[in-house]
Amino acid sequence: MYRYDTFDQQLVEQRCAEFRDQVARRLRGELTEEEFKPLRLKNGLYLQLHAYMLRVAVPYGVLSANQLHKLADIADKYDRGYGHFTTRQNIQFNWPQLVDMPDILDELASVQMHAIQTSGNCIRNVTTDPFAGVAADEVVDPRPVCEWLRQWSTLMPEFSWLPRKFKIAVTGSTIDRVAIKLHDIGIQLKTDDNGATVADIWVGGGQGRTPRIAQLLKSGVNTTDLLPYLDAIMRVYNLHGNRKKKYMARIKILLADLGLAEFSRQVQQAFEHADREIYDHAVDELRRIESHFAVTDATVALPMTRSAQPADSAFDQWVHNNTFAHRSADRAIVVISLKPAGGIPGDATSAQMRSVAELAANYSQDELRVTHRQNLVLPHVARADLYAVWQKLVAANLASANVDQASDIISCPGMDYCSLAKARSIPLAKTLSSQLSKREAGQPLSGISVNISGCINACGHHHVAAIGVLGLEKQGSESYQITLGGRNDMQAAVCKVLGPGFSAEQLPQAIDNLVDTWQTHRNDDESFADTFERIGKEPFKERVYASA
Amino acid sequence: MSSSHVIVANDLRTGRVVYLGRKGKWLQHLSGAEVFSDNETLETALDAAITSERNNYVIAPEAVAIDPALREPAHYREQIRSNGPTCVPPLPALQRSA
Repeated sequence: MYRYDTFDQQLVEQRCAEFRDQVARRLRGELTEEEFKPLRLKNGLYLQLHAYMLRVAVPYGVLSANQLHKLADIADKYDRGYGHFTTRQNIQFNWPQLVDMPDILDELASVQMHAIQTSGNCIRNVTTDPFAGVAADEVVDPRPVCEWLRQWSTLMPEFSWLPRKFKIAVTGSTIDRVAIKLHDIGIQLKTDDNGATVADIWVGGGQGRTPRIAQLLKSGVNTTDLLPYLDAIMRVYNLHGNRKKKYMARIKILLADLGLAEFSRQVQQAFEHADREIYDHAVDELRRIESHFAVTDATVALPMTRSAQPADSAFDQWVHNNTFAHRSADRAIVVISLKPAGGIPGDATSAQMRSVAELAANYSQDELRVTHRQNLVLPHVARADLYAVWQKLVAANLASANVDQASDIISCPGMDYCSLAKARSIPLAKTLSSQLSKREAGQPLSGISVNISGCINACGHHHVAAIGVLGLEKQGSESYQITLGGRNDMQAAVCKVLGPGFSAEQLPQAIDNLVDTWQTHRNDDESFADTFERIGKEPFKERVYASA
Repeated sequence: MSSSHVIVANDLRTGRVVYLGRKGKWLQHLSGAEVFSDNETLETALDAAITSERNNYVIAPEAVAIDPALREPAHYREQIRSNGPTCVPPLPALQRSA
């Protein structure tokens, strides 16, 4: 993985010193809250319902064991012993105190981490495929480009005050595991006929109150042109994005206003007039970055054989659901579910973080990943070690065998923490995961996803779930609207509203009825989204509202 | 405004939810908060709270309606804000008190 050079480290340390001074000035009353708020947000510090919340950047979701140990230490020393992994592949702490913030940022900097650009109207943490660099189906490793974009966008003055926040996702596979079409810019890396890396650029995707699937802006952008082309997109957006109305400010709205052809023309014009000298050494830097991500499959253990492990159906189920094909046949990608039955999606205690960090150090070349589905990944596990890893996960209460099953629920923090939420998400997620886990014990429920958002901002990705749940306030009470048929893969689609909302008490039965209806109409291994597309929403609606 | 209200804010240094008590003191629990039942005293108290914000003790003070009989916020959002998250991870013990 990438290691900071002197410049990176100096930049982060200078930022820590700057924020230490800003916090001190705020506490002395030399800065008002109005003056301080944009400064703290630039350093990832929000004020939520109960307390401050610190969002720490996990660049493109890649963590070292040492970094996860540090996050566990911060959880214990400055917070309440747990952290929340987010759909942006970051981690949030829900209880830090302002007076501790300078020390927390110093501790993060000591392991090459920070909270820069995890808030505010800037380019946020770039996300990528959590299987990057190891997936058997991968065409191009996207991590070097992600790091390149991190360096390009970090504290870049021109893009520090955009009309609205800006999210970029990158994949190097034909299978989309990072939802590139739901981002302001989605980049799919591939190779051309000569084997050179090129990029397809998708633009204008996003969720929130106006969900949109990204449109293909340009195919086959070569590496030399990639940064100047992205620069051109940002400049068109920065110039013409709506700064007067927050909900009209994202690039998806500008794209809809201008139309793809005119937007493309303006980007091309900006690209052709770009000052290319500033990018003279950019490709050299990309080559330097690539050297940090060199393939290291040096130690290959013997493949695990059936005789080498005891018969254990729970282990078999975990291997089936939670391990994925590595580019090396001797290894596996292990996904650690943070979705225990009845648990809080994405939450991990400090003890669990330390357990995972030790597994990463001992079995996964010191590395792990955070997924946008709020799980963790050990990307390099030798198949011969799977049983030992599983046993340690069982001991840490992290062995739920439900990755990509219905109970692998995405959920935002909702009104239990978030000041923007209209309803709670977590209690519903706990109830639904318990309920769905019981069904999965009898029959696996793959091909279906359940995502919950506590408000229309859609941090819980309900728009792109097979079954989405949106929390609302209705006549002074929490109400939940069900949406169906969304998907976040290469065939990305926005869901459709089923009908009138439900109370929290009614919702579990409604979800049960939806799953029943799907299973009744499902052809073979058809996904929920495919069944929904084939039969429409009426059969689901009839079943759910007949019994409501 | 009408009915009964308390004044809520967040403590600047810690970020924790605080309620305005008697003699302008900020308290960590709703139980000690001063209840304002008429507009005039509420407006006066809000002015005092804003002064407290200017003096860098609290952030974003506001009045919230309460049910005087139950002595809890009328709206579920403020009930959660007063009582804390309704779901927390299973932890051996809190590392730091609020």
